Amino acid sequence: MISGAVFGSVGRYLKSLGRGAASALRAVRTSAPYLVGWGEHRKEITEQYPDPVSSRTEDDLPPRTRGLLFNDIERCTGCLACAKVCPVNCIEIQNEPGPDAEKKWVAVFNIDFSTCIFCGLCVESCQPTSLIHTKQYEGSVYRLTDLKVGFGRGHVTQEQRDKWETLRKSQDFVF
Amino acid sequence: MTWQELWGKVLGFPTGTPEFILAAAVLLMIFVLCVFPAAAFLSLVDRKLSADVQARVGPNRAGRWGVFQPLADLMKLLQKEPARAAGWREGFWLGVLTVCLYSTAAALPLGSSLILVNTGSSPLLVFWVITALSVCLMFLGYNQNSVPGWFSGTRLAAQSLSGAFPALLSVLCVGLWAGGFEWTRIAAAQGADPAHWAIVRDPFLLLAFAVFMAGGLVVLSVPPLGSGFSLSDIKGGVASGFHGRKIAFFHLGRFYGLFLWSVIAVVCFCGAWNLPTSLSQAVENSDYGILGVKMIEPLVTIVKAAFLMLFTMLFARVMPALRSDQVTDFAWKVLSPIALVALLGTGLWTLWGGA
Amino acid sequence: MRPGFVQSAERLERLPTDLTHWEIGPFHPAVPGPLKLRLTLDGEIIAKLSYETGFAFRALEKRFEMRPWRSGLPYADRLDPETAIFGQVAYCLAAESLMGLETPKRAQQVRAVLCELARISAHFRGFVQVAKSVAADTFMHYALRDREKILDLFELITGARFTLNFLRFGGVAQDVTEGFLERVADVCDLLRARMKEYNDLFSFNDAFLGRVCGTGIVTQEVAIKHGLTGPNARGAGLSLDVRKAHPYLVYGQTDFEVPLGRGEFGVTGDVHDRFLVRLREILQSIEIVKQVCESMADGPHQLLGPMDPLPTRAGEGFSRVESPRGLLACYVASDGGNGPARVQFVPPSVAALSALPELAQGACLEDLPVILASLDLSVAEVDR
Repeated sequence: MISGAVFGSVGRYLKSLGRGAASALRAVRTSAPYLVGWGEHRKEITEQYPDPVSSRTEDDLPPRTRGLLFNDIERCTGCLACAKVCPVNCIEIQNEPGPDAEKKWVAVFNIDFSTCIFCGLCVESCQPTSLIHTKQYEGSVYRLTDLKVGFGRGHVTQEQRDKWETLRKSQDFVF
Repeated sequence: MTWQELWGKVLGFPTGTPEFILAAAVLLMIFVLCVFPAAAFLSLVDRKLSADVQARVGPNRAGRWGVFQPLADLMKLLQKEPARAAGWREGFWLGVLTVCLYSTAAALPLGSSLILVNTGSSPLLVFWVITALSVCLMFLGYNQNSVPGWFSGTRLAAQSLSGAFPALLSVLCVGLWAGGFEWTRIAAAQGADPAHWAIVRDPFLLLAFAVFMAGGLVVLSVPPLGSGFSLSDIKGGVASGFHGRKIAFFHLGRFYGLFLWSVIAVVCFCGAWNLPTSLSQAVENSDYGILGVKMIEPLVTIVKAAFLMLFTMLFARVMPALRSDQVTDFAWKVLSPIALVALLGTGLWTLWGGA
Repeated sequence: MRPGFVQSAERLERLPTDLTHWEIGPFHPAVPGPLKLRLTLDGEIIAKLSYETGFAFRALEKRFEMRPWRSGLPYADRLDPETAIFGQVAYCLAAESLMGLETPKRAQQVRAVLCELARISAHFRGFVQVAKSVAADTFMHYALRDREKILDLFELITGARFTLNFLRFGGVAQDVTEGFLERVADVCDLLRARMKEYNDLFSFNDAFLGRVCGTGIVTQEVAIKHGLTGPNARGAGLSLDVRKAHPYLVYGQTDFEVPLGRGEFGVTGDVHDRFLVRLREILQSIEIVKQVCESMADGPHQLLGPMDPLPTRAGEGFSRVESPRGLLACYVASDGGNGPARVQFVPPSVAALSALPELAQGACLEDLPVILASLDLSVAEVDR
């Protein structure tokens, strides 16, 4: 009847109020322990950077971290595998015949870090493992041109090239 | 001792200075010494507290524990250029809003001798101001001449009026119980001991206190009851058109509103500025005399109000926000009936001689 | 002055009562990416919504054709950078079906573990969007904090946090590191405990329910009409999951449930149902990860080395994967050359976006961010 309807709806009304208040209190109860940092998993997770330096120094990063690239030019054979596989064509290599007939002289080995996407395909394809990822991640510079990093040995003079050609020819006679 | 004599002596004005000069000087002092530092301090506490609850650290660069962060924020905001030139209309409504909001400092019940206007309509001044504020906010929103402005202006006006009504009823309850509406009378009807607070002496006043705080959340548009003062335009924020200096004043106004509301709640329901008699007698008998008692009273009020504000801020950070039409529904369909019940109950309680 | 803004004295300080137009975007905090929304509003009820995409067009599919096979792998990651691995899984499976490569069991399991961890991470991101739209800052920060644990796991095994670039044709790039599987188990236990905290704080909170129950209702008809898949369709009650319908990797051998929306607190297919479906999917993903980690097979992690020639041939390959947003399909065509001739992705966000106008019609303006967040759109995916 009408009174039943009124009491029913009043009851529902009060129950919904109670539910609202209860859920509000539950929210406060769940998050209040964070104020005092009660429990290991309620500690603050902010990492300070750069001063004091956070836990993410190079030594703390995992070994496989794909940071800035570095090429050990002594071991590099100039096989161009990294330049061929790079998705964004950011590796520029110029080879020359060197003093040793078996090893090329890598005159220019530039990596343009403004284009590099740090995908790691070049490191994976490097057979002599001269190209590696360092764990260095702070690569900001003040000038855009500074982002092009060169690892090459540099072009040599024509005089030097002639000397090397003589050297290589002499190696052909070595048995 | 009237407040004119007290403050005339404290501030060093000669006797006989016109009252309005004294009033202006006291108002200025309240602002500079009380409201601005409180707002700055509380903005930092709000950020640190909400960071704490969210497992973060919060500001910690500007000074140890970020104590100079409010100063840094203020300096940053003051140096910003407005994105678009404000018309004279916007300036007009902002001016009216500022005048209305800070005129409540005249009736701010900080201590028994700090109230400039101690009449029976002092508590009601706040509610008059809220109606004026809703008009100002509405026109501020309309002046942006854009969909978010229209939407937020109308919504905020509706929301503040819907929250003011049950809050007004709660204050009526208190006046009914205390036998008058002067702040001093309301404070005198309570005592320092929590057993003598209004909410303990009359159970319907506990209900009225809950309604008053909830109404405050609605008027000030604090989550969970509204996010109308958010800076985002799609959430119906009237502040989305504000930049730079206006945001600084906007935040100051918000904190002042919360501060005012908490102080009124403390005075009406939680024992006002009453000191335990032993303490007040000890101070009176010491060198500071009655002046010392009058100085300690605002401190008591402010500390109690600060607790209320901190709990409100914490609660706001943890809960999601309702939509503005849900908020007005809540105010009219939940808070107002409960406020009426509280009013009726307080009337009957007082009539039949409750404690 | 904003462009297109006409300041006339008659319009000022007056509330227009006819239909008004408003453009949101392309950059706006409520919108999950560069997307333009054109609204026609009747007061605060949305009468019509239309959208414009293309602001994030990168010609991604063309880039595949311009490079050799292996060089295209990082591009697949960048289809949707937040659910990066699924783009790569789709591309690799399609290419492997074209080349006739059969990945070793261990590689498939590692792929599955990473996929499920990425699913959990993507669902956390979805929660962040929903929490931001209802102004629940605390829950948002908790979800982000827990997503960091998964990103740390990714960094441990692959070296990167988001665009992993870990899959290769015929397997995965490297084997799991020592102790990785134990770390995964620890993170799974931690996440299970956190779920309880989330439910206490947010999932059934009255204020949250008030915002999300009964809004943005996706009925089964709407879902089928627009081709919705994933949690958007499962929230409406449609049981569509590629992992069950067309099992790939090791999903055929793992035991897990597919949660469906049941309208427990509102209407079936509303925002809350989609939220609950994503919440429960996280628990199911934890189950899958635990099962696969415990039964990890021995064997090679890759069929071919990085310099081995690929058995390319002319032909087509096709794959379907279940990404956190829905069904992601990839089509690869080759003419036997150095690289693919055509790569096409069919991302799930396109269907969700096409359903948006119908969902938004009749909704309050303030509900629009909530509906947008619940659809879990990725504009990068839509525009490619």
